[in-house]
Amino acid sequence: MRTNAKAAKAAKKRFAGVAQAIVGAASVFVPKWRRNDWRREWDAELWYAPRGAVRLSAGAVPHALRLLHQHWSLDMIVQDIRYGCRMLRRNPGFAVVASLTLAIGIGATTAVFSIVNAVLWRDLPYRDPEKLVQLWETNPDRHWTEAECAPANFADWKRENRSFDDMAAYWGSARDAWIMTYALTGAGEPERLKGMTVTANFFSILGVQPAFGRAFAADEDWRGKDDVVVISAGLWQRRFGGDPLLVGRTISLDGRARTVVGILPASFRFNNTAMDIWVPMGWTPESIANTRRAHNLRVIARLNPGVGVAQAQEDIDRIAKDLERRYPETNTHMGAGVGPLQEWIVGPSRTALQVFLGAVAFVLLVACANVANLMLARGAARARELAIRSALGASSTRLVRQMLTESVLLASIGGALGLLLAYTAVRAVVASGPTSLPRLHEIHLDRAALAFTMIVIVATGIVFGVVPARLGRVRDVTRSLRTGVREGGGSGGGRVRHALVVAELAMSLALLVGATLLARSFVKLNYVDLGFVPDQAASVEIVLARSTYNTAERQSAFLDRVLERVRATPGVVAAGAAQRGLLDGFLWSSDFTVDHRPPDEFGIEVRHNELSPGYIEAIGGRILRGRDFNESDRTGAPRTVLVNDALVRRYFRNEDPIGQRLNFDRPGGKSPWRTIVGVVRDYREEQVGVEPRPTIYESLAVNTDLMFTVVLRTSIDAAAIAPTIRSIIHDIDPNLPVPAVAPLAARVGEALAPYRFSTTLMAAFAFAGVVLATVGLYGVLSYLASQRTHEIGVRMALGASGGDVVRLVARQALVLTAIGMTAGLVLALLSGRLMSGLLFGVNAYDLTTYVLVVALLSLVAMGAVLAPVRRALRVSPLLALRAE
Amino acid sequence: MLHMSRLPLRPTLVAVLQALVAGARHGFDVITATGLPSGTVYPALARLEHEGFVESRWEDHKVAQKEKRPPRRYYEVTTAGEKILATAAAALKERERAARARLRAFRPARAKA
Repeated sequence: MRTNAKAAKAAKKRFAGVAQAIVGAASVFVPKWRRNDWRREWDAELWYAPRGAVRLSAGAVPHALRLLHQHWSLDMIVQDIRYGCRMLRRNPGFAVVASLTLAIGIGATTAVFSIVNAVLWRDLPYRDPEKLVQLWETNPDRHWTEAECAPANFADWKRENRSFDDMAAYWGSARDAWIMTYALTGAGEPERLKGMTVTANFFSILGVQPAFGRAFAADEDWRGKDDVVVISAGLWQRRFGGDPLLVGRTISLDGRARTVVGILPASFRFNNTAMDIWVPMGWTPESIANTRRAHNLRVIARLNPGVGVAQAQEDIDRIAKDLERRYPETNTHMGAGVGPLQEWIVGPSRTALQVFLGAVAFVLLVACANVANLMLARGAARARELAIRSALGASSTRLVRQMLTESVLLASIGGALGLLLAYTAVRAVVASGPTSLPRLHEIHLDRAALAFTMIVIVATGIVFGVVPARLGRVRDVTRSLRTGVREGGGSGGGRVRHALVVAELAMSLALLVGATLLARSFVKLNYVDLGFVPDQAASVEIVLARSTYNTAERQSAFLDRVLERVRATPGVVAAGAAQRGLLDGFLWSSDFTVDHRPPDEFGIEVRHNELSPGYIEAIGGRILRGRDFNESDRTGAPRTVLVNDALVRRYFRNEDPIGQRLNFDRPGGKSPWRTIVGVVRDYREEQVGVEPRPTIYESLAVNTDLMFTVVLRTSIDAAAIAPTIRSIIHDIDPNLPVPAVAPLAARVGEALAPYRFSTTLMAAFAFAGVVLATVGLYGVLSYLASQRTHEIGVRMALGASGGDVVRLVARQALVLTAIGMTAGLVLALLSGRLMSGLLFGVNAYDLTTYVLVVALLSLVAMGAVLAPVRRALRVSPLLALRAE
Repeated sequence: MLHMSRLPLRPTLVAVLQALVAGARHGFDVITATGLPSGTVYPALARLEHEGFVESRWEDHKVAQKEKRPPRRYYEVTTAGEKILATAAAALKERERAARARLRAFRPARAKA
């Protein structure tokens, strides 16, 4: 019995030890002024506790935290904030510069990160997006690396592969979908709709479920069953008032009735252009099997579980080899490629976005360096104030808390401004962003990015603002008080400051180089010889309804009437039409053979377009030799073509091309011969930045189509004539949706939009970087100069001249600037390779640019030095010495 | 819920106050009286004291020394504390009344039957 009691006592003692330890640990949190009191209370509580002291002591931790919480009470925080506001108000220059720096850093980084994350990194918004791939054809003979696929090849791939769960196709042009235009007629005004032609399984491969109705059924791929359409939520709302009963009803597209089977969810997008409708292919078994020569399909597929891209590539290689053997006529050297769909969509924008990301990282670093610099300088300037407060009894925790409050205050102002900036920037990019940027509609302000940049920048402020206050200054109160502000900086802080300024200069130089290179490319692009004259000209894209204009005669009759009426309009000097309009992105291509040449000598991948008489004159081009098309170049007459100068330079170097015959096939093909009647001066039809390639022009009257572009040259303002042109077309066919009449100059502006976008963005970054670096340089130099007021005073008292003083202050600035710029040059040269992908007509290592930037930055640096130097010159020796 | 009359204090704080009114004098007493864990009781006491509903004082040093034990910290409910407790009790009553009234309004038929 007794031993038991003893053991219990011992156990109690041991547990009491644990409890004591817990209370001891918890006491750390209790505010100092009531810590003793608290300890005594808990000692007593534990002493009286009959058993379960450990469990009891667990309450000590929340208790201590509660007291801490009460200690950091609202009124104290309010007091700190009020004091902080007063400090900021007393020093508005610092407050403004610091919060703007924070705002720029946070805003720019968040905006760019939001864009890059949405476009490059986030998964595509489809089911299991990592399983989705794009397929394409390759052919070294034709310089095809990512070409569209022929329907027959697609059918064979789909049938013979072992790697894909399913494979779908859509009509493509270049890397994107071929946008078909449909006239929606019936209730209300005729409207032009943008449509995509897809295989029936297109939506199921993406894993997209219509919001109403269904996607296409498998047999709706075939002609006769293809009178169906899936429409976008946008069209459904806009045109049909969101009527859920629309599913199952028919609508008239180009005069053909199609049943609406499904309405897609509002969030669905496949390309950047917002599509209105999706229609099935309408194939026949023969039309697939026999089309191995026309390459017009883009192919997507879903990989089987467990199959990787490399394995799929092997599989598709095997099929392509087999097809090559079976169809040597069409498939010689025809290969195939597979790659992730995401890569296919975002790949072309990668370089630009990476450059932006790099640039904005520089801006962020410059901003951080600036904040650090400002905080260091401020900490040094306040050393005396802190020392006094410390001497008056403020604890160092309290002082750090004060500094922390001020940092957070600044960060809140800067963060709010930055958030506003980022929001505005993202909105602006989405609203005005170039259509070449994929996934534009998916971009929104990234909260993670905002949090990340805020943390980075605020942490910088805290580290550089609070830590010096705690470590260096406060500890040595007496020294600080004795020597005054002058010594406050200390040599260690000085070295950090110098390094920060050097880094800022280096990074802003690199930013400036990038921006200048882009700006110079942009200027070059604007002054590039287009080969046509965009001023005082307008273009109209016309798409005829298939049902009405189902014969070549009807199509050319319409065109003739339009041209006749347009030419008769007062103010119109010339008018013509082409199958593909200017700067439309791409032209169809084929091989060609010149008559009487050796069989192995043929042209590959020559471009094609069809023109009406007068088109070259209307765009402001020139016929260099021979003649333009005329009314006699019609079906039934001898076949004639025009060629451009690029083709003559390449294939008729020493011959007169006029009168030569060529056809659109390899030697031995069945394509009929055509006679060259004229040579056209090169003009840029595809893209502003791409040299004109060898091109053959046929008469539009011989090879008409449902779609063509009319260009008219005017003697008056091109925009003013638009209503007249629209009414002419409406007159001729009231069922045609009213087309847009756009000045040619606007078309050129549109084509340059992506370049303008990247140049503007880069220039904004460079500007921000340079402004921040200038502020940093100015801040540090004036700080250093003010630190040396005493020294300057003594020197002047001892007879130093004004020149000596200038040298003293300026030398430091020069050394810093020189080091910073050298580092910046290295940085800029290193990033040159990435930049070169974005440039046009300018070398990434362009000497002029570098000289220009160095000169500009030197000037700016000089400006930053000027004020401190002037202040130093005004130092009165008497005052400087008396200040002691 | 909007239609419930609000308690002026959290239920745990009410419980601690009631324990003190009932005669508990220190933290351990309150634990015994209420059955709440110590991690709730001590912060609750600190909070009540901070808000002025409770006062604490140290036991007379000499008394404790004479009895060879450490002095304890005693808590007492202040006038403000008593008032708020009364308000809380009234709020509870009001809740009950409102609940009855609402139930009656909701099931008149059954009440008749």
